[in-house]
This record gives sequence, C-alpha cells and structure tokens, in this order.
Amino acid sequence: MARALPDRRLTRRRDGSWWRLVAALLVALSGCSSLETPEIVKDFRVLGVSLSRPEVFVMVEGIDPTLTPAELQTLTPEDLPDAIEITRYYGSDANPGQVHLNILAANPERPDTPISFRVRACPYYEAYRCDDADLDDTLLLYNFAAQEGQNKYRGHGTLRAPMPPRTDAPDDAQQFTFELPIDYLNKVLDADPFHGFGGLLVLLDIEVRQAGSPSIRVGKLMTYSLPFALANEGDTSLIVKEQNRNPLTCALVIRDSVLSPNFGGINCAIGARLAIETSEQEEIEAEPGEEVAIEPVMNRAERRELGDEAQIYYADTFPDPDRGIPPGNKVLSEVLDFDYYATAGKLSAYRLSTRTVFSDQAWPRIKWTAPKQPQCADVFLVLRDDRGGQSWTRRTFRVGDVPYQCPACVNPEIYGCPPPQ
Amino acid sequence: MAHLRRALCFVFVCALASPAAAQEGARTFTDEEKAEQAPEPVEAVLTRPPELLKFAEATYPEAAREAGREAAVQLILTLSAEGKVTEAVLAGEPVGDGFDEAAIEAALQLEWRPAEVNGAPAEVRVPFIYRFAFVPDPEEPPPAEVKTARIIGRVREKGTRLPLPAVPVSLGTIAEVLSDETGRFVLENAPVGEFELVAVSPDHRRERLPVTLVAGEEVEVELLLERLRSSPFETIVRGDRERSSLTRRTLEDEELKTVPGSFGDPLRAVLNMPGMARSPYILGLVLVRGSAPSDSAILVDGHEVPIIYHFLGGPSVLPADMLERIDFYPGNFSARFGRALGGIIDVGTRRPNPKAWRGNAHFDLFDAGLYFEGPIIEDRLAISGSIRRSYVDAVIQTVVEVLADGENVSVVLPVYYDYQTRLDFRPSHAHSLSLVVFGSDDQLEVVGSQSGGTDVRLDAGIAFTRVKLDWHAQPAKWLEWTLSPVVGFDETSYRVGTLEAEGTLYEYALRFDLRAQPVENLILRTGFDGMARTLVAKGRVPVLLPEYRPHPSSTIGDREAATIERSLDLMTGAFYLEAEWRPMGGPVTVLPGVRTDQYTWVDRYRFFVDPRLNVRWAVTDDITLSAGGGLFSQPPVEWRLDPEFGNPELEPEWAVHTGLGVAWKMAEALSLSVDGFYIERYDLSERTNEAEFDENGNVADISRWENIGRGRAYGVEVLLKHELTRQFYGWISYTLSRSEQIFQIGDDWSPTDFDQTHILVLVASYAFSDNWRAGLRFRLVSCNPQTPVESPTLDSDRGTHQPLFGPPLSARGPLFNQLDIRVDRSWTFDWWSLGVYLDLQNVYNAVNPEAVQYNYRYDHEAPIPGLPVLPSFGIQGSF
Repeated sequence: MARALPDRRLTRRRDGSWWRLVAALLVALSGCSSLETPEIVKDFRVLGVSLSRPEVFVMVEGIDPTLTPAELQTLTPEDLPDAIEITRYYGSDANPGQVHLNILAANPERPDTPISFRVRACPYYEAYRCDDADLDDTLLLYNFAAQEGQNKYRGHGTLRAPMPPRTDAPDDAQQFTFELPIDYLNKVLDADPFHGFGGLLVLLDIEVRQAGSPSIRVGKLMTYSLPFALANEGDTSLIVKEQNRNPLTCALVIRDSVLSPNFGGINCAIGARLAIETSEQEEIEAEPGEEVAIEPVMNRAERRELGDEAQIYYADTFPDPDRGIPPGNKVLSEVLDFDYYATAGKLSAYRLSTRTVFSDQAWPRIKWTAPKQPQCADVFLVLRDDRGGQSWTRRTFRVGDVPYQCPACVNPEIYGCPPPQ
Repeated sequence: MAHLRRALCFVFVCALASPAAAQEGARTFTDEEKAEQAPEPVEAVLTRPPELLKFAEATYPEAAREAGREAAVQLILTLSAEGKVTEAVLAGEPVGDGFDEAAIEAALQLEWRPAEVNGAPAEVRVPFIYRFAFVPDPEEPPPAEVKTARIIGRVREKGTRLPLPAVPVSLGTIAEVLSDETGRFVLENAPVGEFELVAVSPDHRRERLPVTLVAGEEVEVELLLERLRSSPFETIVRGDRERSSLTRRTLEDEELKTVPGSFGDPLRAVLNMPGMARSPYILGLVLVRGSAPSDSAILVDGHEVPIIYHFLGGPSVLPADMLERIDFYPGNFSARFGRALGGIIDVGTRRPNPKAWRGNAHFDLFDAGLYFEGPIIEDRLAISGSIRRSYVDAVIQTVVEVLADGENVSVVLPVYYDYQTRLDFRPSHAHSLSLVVFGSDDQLEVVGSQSGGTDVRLDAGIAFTRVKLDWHAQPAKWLEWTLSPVVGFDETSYRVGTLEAEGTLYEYALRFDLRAQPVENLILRTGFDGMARTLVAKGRVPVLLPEYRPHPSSTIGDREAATIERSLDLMTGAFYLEAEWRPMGGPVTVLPGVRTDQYTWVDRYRFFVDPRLNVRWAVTDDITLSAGGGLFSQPPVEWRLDPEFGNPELEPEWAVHTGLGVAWKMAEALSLSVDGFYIERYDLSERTNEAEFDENGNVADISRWENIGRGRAYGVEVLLKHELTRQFYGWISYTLSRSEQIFQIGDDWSPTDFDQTHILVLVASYAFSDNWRAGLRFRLVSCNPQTPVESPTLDSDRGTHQPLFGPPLSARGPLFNQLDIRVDRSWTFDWWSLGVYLDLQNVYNAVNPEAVQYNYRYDHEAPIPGLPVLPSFGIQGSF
C-alpha cells in the first residue's frame, strides 16, 4: 500500500544537481562569497527557541494510567494495544503537558523596539511551516494581534510572553505557556504517515515581528512520545525512556581559566539552572581589538569528552521483515552543537559540534576579537542537541571606554538600566 | 625565346581513396557517396601511390607568354583504377589569363600508373599543380660534350622525418623524378656543373638545395620539406564513414586540437557541436539534447568507459595523439550502439605508425606527458604509448599560498594521471590484431575550514583500467568482421568526514561486428554487444531508514552509520542487425535496424527490442533529406538497484527518438545542415513521494526509487560549417530546444537541469603564414534553469534556515556569453619541431553566473560566477 507524502516543495532533479554542490563547495571553500556570515548579528534576528520540555510523554488507551515508571518496565510488547489512541499526558509533575516557550531575539539596530509574535501548531510534514497543512490541522496558539502593547520586552534577551498574561508568578510571567489538547494530538496522530512510530511530531510555526524589520518565520518541533521503547528481540519487557531535556552549560570560561564574573563555582550539578541566569547580567571589560578566548564549561564543570552532557536515549526501530529486522530499539547518544553569535567584533568560529560525520571533532572553544571602536557587544552561545533540546547563554562585553552600563543599552526592562540617549 | 611548359604534380595519401570505388571500376561516386560506401572498420592503406607515366604539355596562353606571366594552377584529378584522368577540376582560385583552361586540357591527357589501395588498383583523387614557368631561350647552345653524374636522395618532412612519397624533384629545368613511397629518388645521367635541386609538394614549402655535380661521381642528398602549416598540436583524427545514424557530427584534423577554449583537447572540441548543451565551468559534462549526463554513453573503440574527463574539468583521459576518430551522435544512432537514451560519443584509438618512429613531449599549466609510436617490425608490428601526469595541485598550492599571505585558505587538489599503450600486429592484409591497454586515476582531496571554523574533509577517487583485444579480419572483399573482448575494472572511493565508501566494478565485455556487402547497393551489419559487470562495494554509510525514525533535526552521524558490503551482478547482452540499402541504386538510402537488449540483475530478467529506421534521400548532388526514428533503452544506474538504498524492481528506462533533417552542400567547403528532433523518455527512475506500508499498517519503506519519471526534448539544430581548408575552418552552430521532465506522478512538466533554450556557438580559426594560427570561439547560451527561493524559515532545532522553494527550475539567469581565443605558433627544425600555444578563455572577463548562492538566511542572493579570464599556455616538442 502506498500513500503519498505531503508535497515538500523540494526540487527533484535527474542527477544533474551535483555540479551545483561542487560549485557551492568550491565557492565556500575558496572564501569568495561576499554574502554575510551568520555569526555576526547586525539586524533583527531570532537566534534560538527553547521549550521547557522538548519531549512530552503521553499515555495511550489500554495501559493503566497510574503505572509508575518502575511498573511500566514490567510490561511486555504484548501488553501494548493494537490501536493506539492518546488518552492523557504522562509525567511526574502536576502539569506534564504544559510547555513554556522562550525565544531569543536580538536586534542591535533597534534594541528598544517591542517585539510581538504569533504561534501556530500543526502536524509536522518536513516543511517548517504550517502554510501547507490543512486548516483543520492548524491550531492557533497565540496571535500577536492580541498581544500588541503587552509585549514590552525588547532587543536582546529572552522574549517571554505570557499567555494568558499572568501577574501572580513573576518568575513565570515572561514565558509563553501552552498545552495542546489531547484531541488535537490524536488528530495529529491520524495524519502521521508513521502512525506515531518513533514519536509524534508537532510543528510550532512562529512568526516574530518587530516594527521596522522584516518578520521572521521560525519552526520549532515538539515531540510527543510514549514513555517506553520497544525491547529488542528476545527481551520480554519494555524499556523505560528518559524524557529529553535541554542540554546544559554551567558557565563560560573567559580568557582561559578565568570564569565569568559572579558565577558560583565550578561544581555545577546535573539539572542545575543555567549558569547564564546569574552570570549574564554582568558585563565584562575588554580592550578594543582584544582576542578573548571563550569556552563553555559543561556539567560538573569538568572538562570531559564532548558529549558527556548529551543524553543516552532509546530510539524505536522499524521492523523490516525482508531483512529479518524485528521491532526494537537503538541506543543513541545526543550530538551537541555549539553555535556562537556576536553583535560586534569577529568570531573565530560559528558552529562547533560533536558531529563527526562531515568534520573532525573540535572542542567548542572560540576566540572573539573585540571591535576596534569602544562600544558594547554581546556574545551568545546557543547549545542544541539533535532532537529539539536547546539552551543559551550570553555575555556582555564593555569594549573600551563606554560611558554607560552596557546591559542597560540593550534591555532596559530586564536590567533596569537607563534608557538609551 | 623558348617557353618551357612544365607541370609539377603532387600525389599523396588522400582520405578520399576508396576501396569500394576501386572494386567497382569506373563507377563515379560523389564525395558523400564515397564516404558512405567505405566500410568503417577497413583501413584504406595506399600501398602504391600513382605514378605519372606520360606527361602532356599544355599550351602556354599566348597573351600570358607575351606578357611574360607565369602561373601555378591547382587541380584535383580523379584517377581511375586504370590510370586515366577521368576528371580535372580547379582546387583553388582561378588564376586566369587562360592558364586554368590550358592546365585542365593538358591534365586530362596525362597518363598514370594506377594507385593501389590495399594492394589493388583503386580510384583515387590527387591534387596536382600544373605550373607554367616562363624561361628565356638559352642564348648560347649547350656544351657539345656533356659528362654525367648520379644523384641519390631522399625526401622527408622537416621536423617529423617522415618520408614523402611522390614528390617531384627537379634538377633545374633539366631532369625531374618522383620520390618513391619511402621518399627515395635517383637521378641518373645528371649533367655536371652547379645546379639547384628543387622539391615541391602542395603541403610543403619549396625546398631548394644547391648541388655541385662532378662527372662520374655520385652525390647523396636529403631534402627536408617544411610543412606549410606545421603545428605539433595537430593530430590526425578522422571521422569514420559509418552513416547508419540520422545525424553524425565529425570534426577532423586540427579542428580538434585548435578549437579555442578547448585547451587543445579533441574531446572538448566536440562539445561545441549542435545538440550539445553548455557544460558549467569546464566540467565537460556530456549534455546531449537535454538529457542527463548519465544518459549518454562515452565509448572507446565501442566499449564504455566510466569517465572521459579528469576531475574538475581536467583534460580527457585519452590524449589526442592516441585518437583515430571521434564521432558524436546526438540521437537516433545506429543499432550497433545501445544502453543510452541520450547521445553517443564514440572515440577510436589510433593505429601506431608502422613505418617510422615518432614521439612528442608536452607541458602546460596543468600537466605534462610523453607520447611515442613506431614499428618494431616495419609494416607488421608497431607500438604506441602515452603517459600523462598532472601537477596542477602543486601549481594551485603554490599560487594560493603566495596569494593567501599566511592566511588559512582551503585548497582543492585534483591529481590525475593516465596511460595508454597499443600494440598492433598485422600478419597479413586480411588480418590484424591490436591490443590496447589504457586507464586513468583521479584523486580529489579537499581540506579546509568552513566559515564556522569546522574542519572539512572530502576525498574522492576514481580509477579505471581496460585491456582490449581487437581481431579484425577481411577474408573476402565483401566480408569483414571484428571480434573485440575487453576486461577491466573501476575503483571508486569517497570519504566525507567519517563516512566512506569504496567500490570495485569488474567489467567483461565482448563485441562482435560482422559487415557484408553481398551486392553493390546493400550492406548488412550484424553483431553482438554484451557486457557483464560485478560491483563489489563496502563502506561506512548512513543507514537511517527504514530502521528508525530520527528526530528531523538529527544530522546523519557516524553513530548511525554502519559498515555494509554489497555485491551486485548486472549482465546485458544485445544482438543487432542493420542494413544500408539503396533501392535500385537510386538516390534513396534506407537504413533499417533492430537491437535486442537483454538485462539481467538481482535475479531479474528484462528483454527489450529496439527497432530503428532512418531514411536518406539525395534530392540533388548537394541536397540530402533525412528522417528517422527508433526506440532506445538503458538499464538503471547500478546503485539504484540496491535492495536497501535503491529498488531491485526497477525497470530499464527507454526513449523514442524521432528526427528530420536536411543537409545542403552550399559550396566546395561550405555546408549547411538543419536537424529537428523530438524525443520522449519513459520510465525514468526517480524517488517517489510515497511511503510504503505493509499489511499491518507499518511503514515498510519511504521515498523509494520507482520508474515514475518522464522526459521529453524537442528542438532544431543548425550547423553552418566551413570545412577545414588550407587556411581556414569554422562553423556557426545554433540549437533551439526545450527539455522537460515530470519528476513525480501528478507533477506538471518542468525544465530539466540543463534545459538551454538557445545555444549559439561560433568558431573560426585561420592559419597565417610563418606557422601562425589564430582562432576564436564565441558562445551565447541560455542560462540553466534554477529553482527560486521564495522565503526562508529558521529551523530552530538545527539553527539553520530552510528555504521555501518556488516552482522547480522556473527561474533563469542572464544569457551566458563568452569569447575565447587561441594562438598557435610552431617552429620546424631538421629533426624536430616545437610548438607553443596560448588559449585564453573569457577574454573580456564576462561575469556569467553559473548558479545562485544565498546568504545563510536566504534573504539575499549573489551569483556564483563562472570562470574568469583563464589563460592556458602549453609547449610541445615533437620528432
């Protein structure tokens, strides 16, 4: 039986495109391109979108909803229902389906211009927009029209928009929080060509606007999956999975062995809050044109092999009767990408990664060259795993003699600095 | 005063020598007919040049005599197998003053000993110069007593030292003799005194050699004649005469090595013919009538080779010295060829010189090479060999390091070499054996840094070797056959980061071709064209699907890679039968043919019957109409048959070619041809947009290869060509075409990657005196279609932007325009010659975008420029 996949609007050609790849490769390698590079932020940009839960567990009909993780492990594949229907969210806290969305936006040109956004959800079909999805499958989660004037968070920093606006919990008031209805998840499941196998993907189609700049479309995937994986052949039990979490950095080492200010030590523990939340409020002084080494400190602040912070996880595998492959699982380790951005100066690298397919492994240490003119500059590190987890940190540099406190120039709402002159 | 009327004749081996004509006695053919009649595999060897037996004195035009005028009338004489002059026509511009008429009248009275081709008297055409020399009457009578001497000499070509047969050597106005086939001559009873020996050949400079003759003595001399247009870069490449295809493009002689912009590479020169789309940069892709590069076959002596050009636009893997002929069939080709939907480029290797040793060494900016050929046993066993090695990697490295001035710059380093050798054994006139071993090796290493600073490593390599044995026999004049087995292997390797793959393909091929001409107006041809391939591959490659569904932001990583090994057997065999029939010996020639292809792979068997029919009608001596059509098939690309990465159920792809053409010989050296074509391609293998589910609803496979693609191409090709003459050649080629494809079921027609609506190519080359030659090539071509990007989306999980494409291949850039020039200069010395050339591409540095590149967020675009001004300088010494 064959079923058409949605139109991906990708070009398909008859073995004639390879030369374009060759040409692009040669141009890229020769350094002949005059186009801008991604690591320097000059205008309105979205650098990252994170979810408090990049993976959300759901439970299906036919399985006792009160089972604990330990009890789940006593189940066998035969205990699974033939027809899957999602019945509820599954997790240890009170609101396991609730997700907070953060957007990291930046615009050195208009640091004080408000930003608004719209969020829609739809089944994921490889395209990172909901435009092609059926209207019935698209769910409007948040519309900038309803929030104009209320989003006062400007310029750099984490854009956190409450929906509905909340005043009772200041720490959470700057987050956009949502929870997809179970009925909607079942609708997405019905449309999934993989029948939910390996996880159900929902696309968050986000449009971010700032007056005076072109709007930016951003795609972010949510994963809804069962809390267990199929066992390998011969095993009689299911394997309980660990929910994917955002990758964490504890701190940034600035100028070799000097930790960024106000950071509480090197003993980060797994699950600790991002170090950036305490350290990014401080500014660091730098001389014009100075080369500053920047290096992330991973969890437990020990320099380990890259990937220590990456999670081990189980991925369900498809059965393939023709090749004698039964349903089962693969044990995989996350790959981490370290993306650096700067609003001024020059970065020695943009993306460092633990990926080893197309590149040699490199420790994510970079050099940032400060601009030659006195000014404030921000350097961002966005850390991504390869299944939706994401976090970021920022360091603000005062380059040369700047007559004001730098963070104030870029985000007066958060940092309480005087408005720009 | 007395007038001596002298004729100097020049006879040399001429491509027009026709064994068929020789067999048919006095029957006269047009040039085209002669060309078509000649059996392609039979090499017409002039075993004895014609010899002038009886000279006929022309009448010196009275007015010219009174004016004291002299003249040299260039003629082309047709000599019958009996030695009679059946036709005498002017070969050059009329000289007037009555000289032309007088020369023709006298030439028809000449008597010759017939020429012999392959040991039999044959009709030939020879150039002949009837020279009218005005000589005053001797005022004093000759001395009463004349003592004599003897002159023994040899006429050879300066530089190459090749013997020149049938060159008239005169001793002043007293005696004249023709050199024999070894270039030797003897003048008996020459008068004593101081004289001047003069040797004249139409293609050489007149050579004068003062001699002093003493009574009773013998003088031994050597006359070295310098070619009028001598260039070490010339090659002797002739198109064969096979005409069972509707359209054949053939370039000859120095056309192939002096076309500007081709770097002296004959196989690049062919890319300037109608029907051939422009290849990006100098990549040398064979893009025939809008088809994909893999749809066209590159054959060497009828057998496929995996590559014809070295990496990244390098030269062809066969050097010009090894080539005998290059034929390009843009479609509707003979049933002898198959396994291709596009066109055919058939390259023939050259028989080594069985009489004299020759060789050369060349150097240019990219590589250096050596070539040699010569007899081991004269006329029976001869050998040739060639080797070439690139050093462009070292050149690039050095230049980049100097320019980079310490900066870390990535470098693309192609390294290649190739080698060829051919051994020919001719035990008798009826049989000949040749053993050809050739191959090449290409390695490409890319080491560098991305803009982000991550190291990148990309290595690729391909090497192949072929060993071919040809046994040609002609047991009777009407029957001949060739048996040609080949063994070889290809080795490929790729490495991207930690992923790598390598494969070895073993190939065994056999061709048998039999040609018979039972009656005068019928030629039959049949044979077998078979090939068996075994592909053994292993590698560390991604095996993501269908085992598990990764998160879309997951990039293929080595953790998901697995080491796999594959072995695939593919066998194809074809029988073919075709005829060339001229009903009643009339103006119409019918060329029916049929080819049966059997394909076997992965325990599957396919059988195709490809009928073909071409018809030509010689409306007049100068105008020929042609029409034809046929079926063509080819197996899928091997790796697409893999059970895991491809689909072993794939069917062969096939096409219908139709065409209509007219050829008009406008003048002696000027021709115009117009060809229209329409091609439909079916069952093209493409990836589907569908997921396969088993009976339980589980995903069994997604996006598999299926025979769902279709293609079509149609257009008109015009070629106005000035054939190679003494000083000039050139052509204007224009193609108006459209090539479209359907990639998915339900899709609309969209252009193919290399759909170029207008392709205009102008080539001209002129040989000046003093061994200078200069030429130019100008091209005006539609830009390849491109797929526009409508808007981007930031993929937050990957941190990269994803383009949203517009309609596939719906946009085009500006017209490609480029002017190339080439200048050749050569010097000839007694024992060797030296040539240099400068080939300058894109003289006015036109910015020709080959593609569009976008910035990281796809909101700004910039052209990927084509080649800038690109000079190439070469030097070659030959002996």
